[in-house]
Amino acid sequence: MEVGLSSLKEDYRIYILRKTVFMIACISVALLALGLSVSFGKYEIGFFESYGIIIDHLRGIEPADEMKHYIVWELRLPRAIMAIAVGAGLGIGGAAMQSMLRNPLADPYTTGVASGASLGAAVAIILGICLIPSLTGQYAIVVNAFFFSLIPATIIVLISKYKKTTPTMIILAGIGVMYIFSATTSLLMLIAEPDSLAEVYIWTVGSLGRASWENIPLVITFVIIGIIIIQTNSRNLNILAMGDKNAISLGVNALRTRLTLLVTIAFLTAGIVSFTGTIGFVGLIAPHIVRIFLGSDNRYLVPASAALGAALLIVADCIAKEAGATGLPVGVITAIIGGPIFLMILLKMRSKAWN
Amino acid sequence: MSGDAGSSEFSSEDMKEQYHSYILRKILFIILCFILVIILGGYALTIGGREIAHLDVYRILWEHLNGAEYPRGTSEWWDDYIVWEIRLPRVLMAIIAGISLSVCGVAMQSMLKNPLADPYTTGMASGAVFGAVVAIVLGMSFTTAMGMYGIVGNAFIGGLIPALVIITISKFVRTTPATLILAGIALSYMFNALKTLLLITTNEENIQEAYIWQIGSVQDAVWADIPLMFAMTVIGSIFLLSTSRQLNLLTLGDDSARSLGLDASQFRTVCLILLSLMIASIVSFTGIIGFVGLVAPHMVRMILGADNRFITPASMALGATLILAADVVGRTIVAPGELPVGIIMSFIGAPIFLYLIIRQKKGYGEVY
Repeated sequence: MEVGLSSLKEDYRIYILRKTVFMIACISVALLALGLSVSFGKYEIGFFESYGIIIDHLRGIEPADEMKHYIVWELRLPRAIMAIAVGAGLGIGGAAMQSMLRNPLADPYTTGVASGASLGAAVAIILGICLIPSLTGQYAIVVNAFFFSLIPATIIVLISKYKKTTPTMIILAGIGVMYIFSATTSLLMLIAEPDSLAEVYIWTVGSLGRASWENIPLVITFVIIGIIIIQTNSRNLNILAMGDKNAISLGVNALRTRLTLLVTIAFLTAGIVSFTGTIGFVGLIAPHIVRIFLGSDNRYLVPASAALGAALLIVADCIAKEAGATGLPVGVITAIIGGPIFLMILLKMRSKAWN
Repeated sequence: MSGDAGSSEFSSEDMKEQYHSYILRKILFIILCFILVIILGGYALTIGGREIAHLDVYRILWEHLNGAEYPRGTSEWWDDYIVWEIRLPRVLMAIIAGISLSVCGVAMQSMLKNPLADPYTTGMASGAVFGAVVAIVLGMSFTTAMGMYGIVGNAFIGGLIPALVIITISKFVRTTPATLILAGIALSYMFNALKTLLLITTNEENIQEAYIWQIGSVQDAVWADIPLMFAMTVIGSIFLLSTSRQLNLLTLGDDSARSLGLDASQFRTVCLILLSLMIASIVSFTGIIGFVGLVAPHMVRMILGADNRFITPASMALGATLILAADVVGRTIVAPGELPVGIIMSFIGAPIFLYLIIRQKKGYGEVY
């Protein structure tokens, strides 16, 4: 009996250790890729040199090379930090969405949020209309994208509030709404000038090219609030995974929890998407890889997905920057890497855990 | 006893009567669609720069078919030329695309036992478009064929990839409609990304081209496009119509199908290749026209009930009507400009998709 207990304790210790190691590994990869991302680009800056410049700046030392300092600090670092914040946000969004809807293929965009944001951006870019009339340019796009992305999310929340919905229905309704919004965006794109068309197109693919120091605090705020709410709900998420009836008998109001999370994820995704456009598959894949290593306990799944999402997106962005003559939108890279992984997941779904 | 026999005879008469009116309603539906196609098609032939009256169009077509020849340059010659050479291919393309895509939709729904399957939602159309873009942009062919056949060949291979993926998945995993549609979306995402990659790296200004490829339209139709898509549609439709019994068996599951004498996996492979060919031959010329394969069979089920013998022919008729109507609407509401039929179909199809999900009733083909 005692032997059993101590081996159990041992097992538990290893389990926790594995989680810690995994998180540390993810964070180190993200930090390494940060340096890589900063040193990549037309202007040659060494890998270690870029860390040196960042550390010098943080310590308040006068930069030796003004030009390099400008490129690193003003141009490349915001993009790298944006990648980390966005990746983390999409990672937790995906983890929560999958546990909540009990579908391994759900991702933050399943609520149609991304299609709403694309439409908002298209309205701003092509028609030059903004919901807050005095705004123009970049801000108009962001504001429109944010508010428009809340429309499909609201529709889904309303449907799931007034109709007795199953998780499947939420997913399919999200897709239905997405189809409608995409059609509207297509209509706008049809009348667009070639220049604005290219802008909207890149937007729908998703890119980190517009990151700047001004955007970062907002995105980080959204991500941090999102992490806090989802993390505090992670126990409830564990219970939801056992089915609505079991959840109710354990004192968790399944519908209300789902609604809270849906609203949180909608705001989180809207906050991210309005700055970057639709970056697919990160929210889908990060939680899956985490599940392979750590299992489905949401208390660990959520933070680990955030860490891994950040690492994945910044690595993808490094590839995107180097690909082609002028670089590609990062969404293209995540789709090309993510698509096959997605299919593997589907084939692996025979495992009982999800059915 | 005799009284009993009499009453039973009466009720069987009654039943026959009911059955006849039931069959009649179905046949009437198909005839109605047929008439609509003729009226809409005739109307579509009147749209354009040169004014030609609706009824004249039919006369011109009839006379052309009877081998009428006009001296070059006369007014009759121009009427004939414009109707026959310029406007008719577009109408025919819309009709053929409508028929082909709805047949594919019906077949896929039975094959995958999934009411939300269609060439668009399963990603097959995106795969085919990607294949076609490879042929157009890189001038590269997966097969040895060149030119138009090279494009269609590539589209075929491109469409086959998602088809294989979906079939493999649905064979090994018990997919719900949600899973299938998500897989379809992921596949189309991936193919879109690859297409973007291709077009951006070859030429930065090609985004517009990439985009225009994405929305289906029949506006560039010419006679040269018609024979191939027509042939594929005829072959495919005849095969699928004549095997509708086998398709029905597939919906019972592979084991039941086998015990009833059907080699399910072999039959599915044949269907799959045929469907990919049909979709490729359409998509290579029109781009992606979504939802026809989804909307037509579902509307038929709502109107006529779920009788599989009629769903295929009725969907073909309705599909042709739908695309033709969408094209006419697209050309008239913003005249003299026009909206591609793909966009109009999305506006019709997407709300119906949503409706099917939110308000499901038994008997229309349950959504999940």
